[in-house]
Amino acid sequence: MAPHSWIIRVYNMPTQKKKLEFKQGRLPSKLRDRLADFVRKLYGEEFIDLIPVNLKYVCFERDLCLIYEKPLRGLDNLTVLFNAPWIAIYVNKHVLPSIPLVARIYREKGVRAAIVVKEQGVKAFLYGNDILVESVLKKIPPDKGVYTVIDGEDGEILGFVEWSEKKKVYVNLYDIGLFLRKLG
Amino acid sequence: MNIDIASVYRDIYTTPTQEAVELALKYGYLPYMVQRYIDMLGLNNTLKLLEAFEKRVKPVVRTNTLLIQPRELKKRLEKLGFQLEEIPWSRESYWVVSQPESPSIGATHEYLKGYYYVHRDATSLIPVYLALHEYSGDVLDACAAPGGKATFTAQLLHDKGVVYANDLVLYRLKAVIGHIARMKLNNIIVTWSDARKLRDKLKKRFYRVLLDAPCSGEGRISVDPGRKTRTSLLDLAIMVKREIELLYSLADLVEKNGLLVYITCSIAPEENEYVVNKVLEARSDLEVVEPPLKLFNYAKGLTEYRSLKFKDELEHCIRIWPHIHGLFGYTICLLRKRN
Repeated sequence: MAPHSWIIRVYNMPTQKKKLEFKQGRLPSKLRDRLADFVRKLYGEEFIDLIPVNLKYVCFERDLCLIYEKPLRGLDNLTVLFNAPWIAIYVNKHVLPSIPLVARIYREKGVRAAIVVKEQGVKAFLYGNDILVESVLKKIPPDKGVYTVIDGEDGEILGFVEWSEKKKVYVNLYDIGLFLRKLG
Repeated sequence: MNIDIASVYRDIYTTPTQEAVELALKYGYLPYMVQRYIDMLGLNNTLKLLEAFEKRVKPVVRTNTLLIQPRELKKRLEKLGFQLEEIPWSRESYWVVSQPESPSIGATHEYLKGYYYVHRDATSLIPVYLALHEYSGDVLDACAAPGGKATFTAQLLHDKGVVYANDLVLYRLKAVIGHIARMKLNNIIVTWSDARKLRDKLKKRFYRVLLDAPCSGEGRISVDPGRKTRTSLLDLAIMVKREIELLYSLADLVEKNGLLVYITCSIAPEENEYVVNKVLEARSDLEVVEPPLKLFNYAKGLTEYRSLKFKDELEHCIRIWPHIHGLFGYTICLLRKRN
């Protein structure tokens, strides 16, 4: 993602002595295309329409950006940083659908491309760790190598993993605990 | 609205008595603050207030009812070793009475999954209940960070309105966005602006505006004792000027018959009744109204303080006193835009 709008602020108040790297802008079309490809591959062509055309991003670190739809009107003179629900995330060079977007797809079509995980695996995953094969209760097709992680206890979507043939684990791509770890 | 800091300073200036100086030394406060407490409450209640500030308030867990029912959350947290107590006037919230050594209340898996928000104290729930009583529609939270009120408002509105959460401090907005994503809320827009400039930047008008103004935070001394000495009288005058400017300018964003909720985590009349009175003197289109909901017995706003006389309607403001209510010191005034 081109860092074309980095802004660094240093606040002078005693309680605000913090540097922050931050950028935002319109999402490059190639990244939107990558997201659309991902959704097509895992969930089907019919869900491409759930990805809005006018997407923006906000990054608080070089490798963590949230992607959201540009609000419709009345806010042109304001700096909009975020619009919920978020649509996708850019993390460690991956563009992945947001948890709300996947939840919406699952509501319409049922759960797809997912692993259902035991309590111990969930706990490790929410702290940013990978998931061991022993922690997987169930794998739900299609088997494309990338899966959403579902809590076996309450059915909540927790993030994404990718199977690593080399390490023989499900590598954490992002988990919902990331927001506390990275954004505070 | 042009506010002269020197005139504010003259209005709020006081020379502490020997009694105030001695108490200030004993409890570690700036003398003018203790003089203020004596002037408002008398000596006995000042002592009770100073003692109350020495006690820790209980943090509050507010259930994200969009994801889990309060009783189910309570059961899960109690299983982890937390002891929770119901808050009689908030069906989705609990006081955290005791905690295990690990995990902390802000590090459980239930927290990571967005099942709840942790408030430092229950007072910040009150303005949201008051603002949303018999209301659905969009809400502006003009100084929204760290996001407790904005996320609660979004949760209560759900699909019946959008929350516009604005703040000036970027790194605090980062945390707001983190909470929104974690809690899976789908009706918040986050903007970055000086709230005083919103009236020029926003085309939209609102029937509900929350202004939790940046203030001395004097009501939060129990969790941040540094506030006993952080704000000199001159600093206070500068804050008061900003608070007047904020309230005055945000009134332009309120639709006719809409409510502007002015909130501070301060018990200083200078930051509350004085501010609201100044704005009422400058604008005839606002009136202070009674709270639409009685969650518990609130204390009334002040209509006079030292030599200052405020409009009678200021008594409709709500004061939360640490020594009476066992909560943070807090002041809330509901201003209705006249038709």
